[in-house]
Amino acid sequence: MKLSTYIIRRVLVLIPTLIGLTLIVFLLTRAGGTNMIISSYLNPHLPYAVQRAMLVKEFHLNDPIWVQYYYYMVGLLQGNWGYTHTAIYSGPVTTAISLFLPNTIQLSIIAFIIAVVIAIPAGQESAVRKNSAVDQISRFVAFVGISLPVFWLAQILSEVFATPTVSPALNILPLSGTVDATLMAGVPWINSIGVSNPTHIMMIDALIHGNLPIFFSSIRHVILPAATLAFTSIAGIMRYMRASMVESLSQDYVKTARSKGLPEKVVIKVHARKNALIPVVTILGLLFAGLLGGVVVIEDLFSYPGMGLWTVDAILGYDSGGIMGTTIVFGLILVTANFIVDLLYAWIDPRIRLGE
Amino acid sequence: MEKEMIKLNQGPLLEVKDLSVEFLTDFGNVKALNNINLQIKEGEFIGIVGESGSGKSTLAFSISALLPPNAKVSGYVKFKNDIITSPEISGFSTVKMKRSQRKILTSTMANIRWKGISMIFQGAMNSFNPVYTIGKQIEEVFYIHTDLPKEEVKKKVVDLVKTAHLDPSVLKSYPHELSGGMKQRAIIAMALALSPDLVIADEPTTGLDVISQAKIIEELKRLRKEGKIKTLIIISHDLGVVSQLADRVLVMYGGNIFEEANKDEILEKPFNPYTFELLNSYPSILKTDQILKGIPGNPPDLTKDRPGCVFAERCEFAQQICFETKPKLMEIGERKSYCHFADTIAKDPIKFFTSNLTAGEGALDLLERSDISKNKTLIKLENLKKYFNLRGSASGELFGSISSKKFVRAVDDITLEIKEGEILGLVGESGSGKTTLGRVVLRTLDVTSGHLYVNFSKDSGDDFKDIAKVKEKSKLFKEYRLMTQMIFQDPYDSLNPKMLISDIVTEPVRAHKVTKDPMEMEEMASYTLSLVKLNPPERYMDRYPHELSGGERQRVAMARAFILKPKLLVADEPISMLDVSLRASFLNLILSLRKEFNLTVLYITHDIASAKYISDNILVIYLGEGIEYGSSNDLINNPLHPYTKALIKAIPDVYGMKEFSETDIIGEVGNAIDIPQGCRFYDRCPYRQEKCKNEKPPKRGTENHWYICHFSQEELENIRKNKNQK
Repeated sequence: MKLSTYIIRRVLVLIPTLIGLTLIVFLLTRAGGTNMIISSYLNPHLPYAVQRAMLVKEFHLNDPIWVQYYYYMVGLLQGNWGYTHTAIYSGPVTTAISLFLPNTIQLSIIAFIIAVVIAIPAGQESAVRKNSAVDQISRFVAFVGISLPVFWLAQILSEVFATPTVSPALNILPLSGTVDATLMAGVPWINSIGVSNPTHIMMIDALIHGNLPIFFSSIRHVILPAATLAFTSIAGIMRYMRASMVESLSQDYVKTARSKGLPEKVVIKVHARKNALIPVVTILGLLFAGLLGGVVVIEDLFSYPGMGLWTVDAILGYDSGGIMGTTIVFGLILVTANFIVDLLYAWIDPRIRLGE
Repeated sequence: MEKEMIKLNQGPLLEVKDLSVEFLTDFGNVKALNNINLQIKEGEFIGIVGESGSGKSTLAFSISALLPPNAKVSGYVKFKNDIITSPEISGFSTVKMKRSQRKILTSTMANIRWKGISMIFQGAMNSFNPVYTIGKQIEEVFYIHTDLPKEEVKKKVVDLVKTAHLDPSVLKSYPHELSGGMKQRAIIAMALALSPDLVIADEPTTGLDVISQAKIIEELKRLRKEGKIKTLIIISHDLGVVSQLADRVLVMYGGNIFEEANKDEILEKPFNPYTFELLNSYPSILKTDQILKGIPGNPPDLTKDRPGCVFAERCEFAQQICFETKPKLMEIGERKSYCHFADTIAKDPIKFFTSNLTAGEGALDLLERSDISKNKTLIKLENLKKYFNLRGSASGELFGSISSKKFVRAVDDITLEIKEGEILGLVGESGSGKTTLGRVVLRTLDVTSGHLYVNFSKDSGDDFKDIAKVKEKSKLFKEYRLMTQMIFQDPYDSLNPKMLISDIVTEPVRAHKVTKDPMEMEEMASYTLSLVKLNPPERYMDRYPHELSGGERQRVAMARAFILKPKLLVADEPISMLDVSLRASFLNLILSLRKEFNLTVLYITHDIASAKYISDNILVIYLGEGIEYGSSNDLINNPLHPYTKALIKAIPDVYGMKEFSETDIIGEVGNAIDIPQGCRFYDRCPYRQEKCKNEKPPKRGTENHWYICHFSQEELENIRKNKNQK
């Protein structure tokens, strides 16, 4: 099978997945009853009965459920995702997504890069020097990473690195937000909730506007949440990489490579590692999705204005528009991550690409 | 002193001196090699034969300086003038080696590896890295060891694969796209890249089908003639393969060299009891109706210290002294033998081996064949077909176009009769559909079309019922399940590692609810275990599969299959995973069960020699179709179908040398998807004519020995003569 055929097939398989995703989100919110759906649209200063009748008509709540789903899907496809009314933002869901998603993506990608850059070489080295000191230490760290709850770790890190009363010597990082409040004041391209224009990613916007202090400040602000987020994934990736590499090193083709007289470096990097990466790549996608779960907790802990913070606000405030919007976005990211993993997998492993 | 120097320089190409290797493991120290001495001169082809655990692979790794870090070495291996394995530089000591020392070692090794010594691994499996193309992996050798520019390397690689009779297009292929035989040729090409002085071939044909194996052997012979391979060490568990290629043969067992002699001497007159008994374990198509004895017992546990000979516990000729002191490798003329009685044997081998012989495991009358033709028919297959749909996945069903739907014709139109008490050999290459046929007969796979008549009569009468389409829940089907059992190829995977032997053996009893009485069940298990010669049964009942050897496990599998006294046993390659010395006794076990209980056996194998040993009749199957059927002696001595002729010629028999070439069979085994319109064998038949392409061949010969072909034997003979004249 050609790679292009493979991609087309894989894309076609996405369609039922996406329908399933929207259907589940739709049914979950509808299960909450009419009041839950309309509550966030109500204006306490206007008569209740009139508003309710209008909202029921707007959302087709008296129609059969599949008709409601039809209108919901039409709305989704036309970009009409409803409204959200939370403490940090009030307005159309689509606008909220465009404001918050870039920050979250930035945070996850940085965390993901930190995790991969540390975990893959560590896992590899662990496997090559099995049972050595390096191996033991990295396995211990991995064990700690898997066992620690993320909120507790976040607490510890912020106490150590960002609380002058606890550790004045190590108080080198900011505690919350995306940029220092003092720098933010009066800057026209940053709005009231701390989201910048035009890309909504503070680092990039700072560079666009040539504001270096804000740029560096934003980097300092992303370190703690990203490191916390990364730490939990490092453990998983490293353990997979180690196991996979140990197996790969015991294969016959590694023996062949050694007997060919290849330097050990080449044997490990060229012959063993690429094979070892194949199973690791599959779980990377899932771990990236796992990061998103961590994002919700971490953004809340560090008051980092992103999807996570908004999600928590929406859930606490029974904001149906926000809940549906964030759930669909997270779902889409998960599906996309899996899709990309499948493509990567086909690209790395010729047996998948060409095998029927 | 000076004299010695000169002698050293003209010494052997490779010298192994007092080499012992121990592996330090969590389960104790495994003494893999004991005091090995060996010299190889330039131009020699040496064969090393041994079963699993004999130390042959460890010896190969020592010679190629690839011992793992948990190895403890004493003695040394010298290649030309360089020590390549010694206590200081190998295995264990490499872990704590100083950086500067390691650097020197690496640079010496870099010179020796592939330029001096190259290896041909078992290419059918995993020797090529699956994620790189063949071309890249061969080129790599040049980039590491030479300074040639890219274009020149590319040219050299193309020349290389041409010398190995491969099309240069394979260079762009990934390993999984090539057949086993082609991969093995590519491996050979890679090994010859830098024209090494010494080539080590470690099981070069294991995992290949018989015909590809014969072709690889021919290939190696040709490369020797052309001077491309100068010196070769061939390592195999199969004496047949080794004897085809080697001038001198070393027989290894339990980490010792047991015998070393020229090939012909060793085959004709072994000077060592182990060699003698090993030779008695190979089924041969040339030996006529001679009982194979095999070697009783199990492979030795090499973690144990023993004062005497490592083979003593299994040796039929062992005396008191064998258990008490270790023998020495005695030199008898040019030959060597590791035995206390080597001298006595050398004086008169026949006298020694016949006078000291104790009674063998199998009684000699096992091979006596009663006339089964008068027996009632147990199973009749009529036009039985099993097709597999090629698009199995859900997305494939959705998006694959209807017109491109393809079938694998695993079993296509087989008509056959099996008598009660018959052993029918089903012989074919991998992919021929033999396993599928076995499973269809058991109805663990559904029948696509055709009839499967089973004789349910309890007495001598006939009571045939067609069970091809019977539902699984019906009474008839359950009755059939009780009548049939199966044993599988891999005794390691077919027994649940978390179950006790007694539970494994009694599982069918519980599944069929024959009895619920635990005492009765235990009695049945104990009786069946003793039937399969696991004595005493109590010793086995409370153990787990991992505590048993491969041979014992396969007997447990047999006990499980036999506990309900089935009428039909399907044995799918039951001996192919066992060591050679254990195979014969397992075959004898099947024969004795047949004799005692009138068991009917469908014996599925790729090994036509073992099929001949055990079967009454043989059906040769090719791409799902039976192409020749006859009594086993008839079919082997007088094969009629061109494919059978080639198959028999391809067997590397210990007792016969044959030239095998493209004139016997063309190409490699086809697939059962794109089947030629006319004769299935058309693409590979050396006798093919125009009409074979589009016309289905008729059945020829007699009811007792038929084959499917357009031509009679005379016509085939004429075609061959005409071809030779051209």
